Amino acid sequence: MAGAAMLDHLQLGDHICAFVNGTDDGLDLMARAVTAGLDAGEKVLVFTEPLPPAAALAGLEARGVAVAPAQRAGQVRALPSHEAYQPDGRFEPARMLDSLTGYIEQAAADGYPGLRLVGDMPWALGEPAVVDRLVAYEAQVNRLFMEGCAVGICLYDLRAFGRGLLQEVACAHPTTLTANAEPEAVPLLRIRRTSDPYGLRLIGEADLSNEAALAAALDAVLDQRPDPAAPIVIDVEGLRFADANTAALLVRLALRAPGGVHVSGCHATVARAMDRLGVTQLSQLRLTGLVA
Amino acid sequence: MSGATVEQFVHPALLYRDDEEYLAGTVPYILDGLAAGEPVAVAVPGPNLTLIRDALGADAERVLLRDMTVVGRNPGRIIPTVLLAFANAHPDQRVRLIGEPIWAGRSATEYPACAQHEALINAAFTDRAATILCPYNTELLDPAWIEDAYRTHPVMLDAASRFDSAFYDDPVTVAASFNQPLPDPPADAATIAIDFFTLRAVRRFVVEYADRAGLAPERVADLALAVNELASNTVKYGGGTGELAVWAQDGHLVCQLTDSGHLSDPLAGRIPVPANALNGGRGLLLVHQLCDLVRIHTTPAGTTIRAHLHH
Repeated sequence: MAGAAMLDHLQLGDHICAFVNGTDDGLDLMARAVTAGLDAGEKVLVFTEPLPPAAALAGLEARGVAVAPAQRAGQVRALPSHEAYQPDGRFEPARMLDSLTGYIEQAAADGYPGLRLVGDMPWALGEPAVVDRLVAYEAQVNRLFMEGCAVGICLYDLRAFGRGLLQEVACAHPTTLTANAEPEAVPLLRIRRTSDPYGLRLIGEADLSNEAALAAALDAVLDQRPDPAAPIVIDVEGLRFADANTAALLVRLALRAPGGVHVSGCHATVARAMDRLGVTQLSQLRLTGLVA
Repeated sequence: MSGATVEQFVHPALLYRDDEEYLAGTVPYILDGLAAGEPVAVAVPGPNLTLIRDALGADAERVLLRDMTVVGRNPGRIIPTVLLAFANAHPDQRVRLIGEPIWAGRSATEYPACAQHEALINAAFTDRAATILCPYNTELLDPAWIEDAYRTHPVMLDAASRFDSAFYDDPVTVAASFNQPLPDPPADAATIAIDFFTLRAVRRFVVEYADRAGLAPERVADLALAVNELASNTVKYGGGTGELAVWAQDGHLVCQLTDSGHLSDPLAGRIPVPANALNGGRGLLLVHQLCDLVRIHTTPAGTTIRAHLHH
């Protein structure tokens, strides 16, 4: 639970991987995440496993979360994880993304400012083929969260998943909350899509631990661009750290975007690294610093 | 050098005793290059750079002149950012360079990296159309360093003659002879464990240490970036986990990473990659640019990399 303070400060658009140690620890974290969502007035959707929904909600109630009134008001809803992710026994990432889009749209239609999704992930271990698709799914789902209408908190039980898989899964999330992390109040990286100008806003730090999430978000912003001729603007004013691989990802995006890429608001440190890697010599990538 | 017998890559050492021999060995070499239409670059320590600039007069403007104590402070970045950068900028021409990476002020800690650099030039420039002349001051340098020049240069020049070195050896073998264990860190070095999940903590750890040690903010940022790249390499290629030790020594900070990986490519981090071909493997190249010295001891049982940053 160390570091869980971050769960109190999540914003719409955040996508967090949280490691838990067994069911009780998972419920502690879930209680904190659900409370923050209810306090923010958001619709809260809980995918739970192995506890059935009723038991999970009772566990939250026992931890002081005012579940009953929220449930009566329709603000909170719990579903078994396998039902949400594998409605006919199979995990289809594309179908899951559609279904999540539906939940997000419904929350908006019901007048909520956004959807807070808290998901127990042990269902993914049921089927070997699913494990392969899980990492790709976790990367792809960033394209939903970066729209800024939902918060995702994915709970992975350290007792159920191997270290190698957890590392791959973590890498697909902008931020991971580990059991022994320093108490961080702020997510490592926030990725948000912007519309005017079209592109992404990056806030925080981009490194090896979240590179798959960033790569997927950059792919998505390229796929979904409304005007192929216009440059994609990556606003990095809030990006305090970027490693060499981040530069490589931006170059790859620039080479694939016919309108090029404009990296704006670069801190001096990020700009110097880009320059040393020769990124500033590319005609397809324009880099501008912080406005003084 | 008659056209018919010119080898693609020519790498002579120039043994000189004084300014007069220095100018006699370098200025005609530069002027011959200019006369042949070859792009010419000179990277030597400041005082020698001044000697050459003054002797060249108006021709100095036709030569790229760089202070090696700045651009080549870290010998590990000379091949990518000075020598190959110049050759790659003139892809269809034979290029001519002077590189003097070893001067009297080089420390015993720096020297093995300098000698490795001199050896690996031969590997990095195989089949490249280039001549690189490396001056050695026989009056001021350690005689053992002059002996090493015979191992790292196929051709020797002195005031009297030009001759093949009888001691020239395979560049990778010579570089490997300087791949020696590093002295232990001081007992009071600060340490932190490295793994996939601690990269942010590792960056914060070095930043706080460097701030307390009084490193300039710009250098602190360089250090954080360099250590992050090395730690990322540990996670990706070095067995997944390792340790970082940090200490202050003689006016600079030293960061040492140890892991269970093996750096088997002797040219790792020394070959520039065009920006449009950037991939994830640019970490060590960046580290060489950010740091003042990088010492490496690598074996199949594990690797120690020590990065030095001056205040």
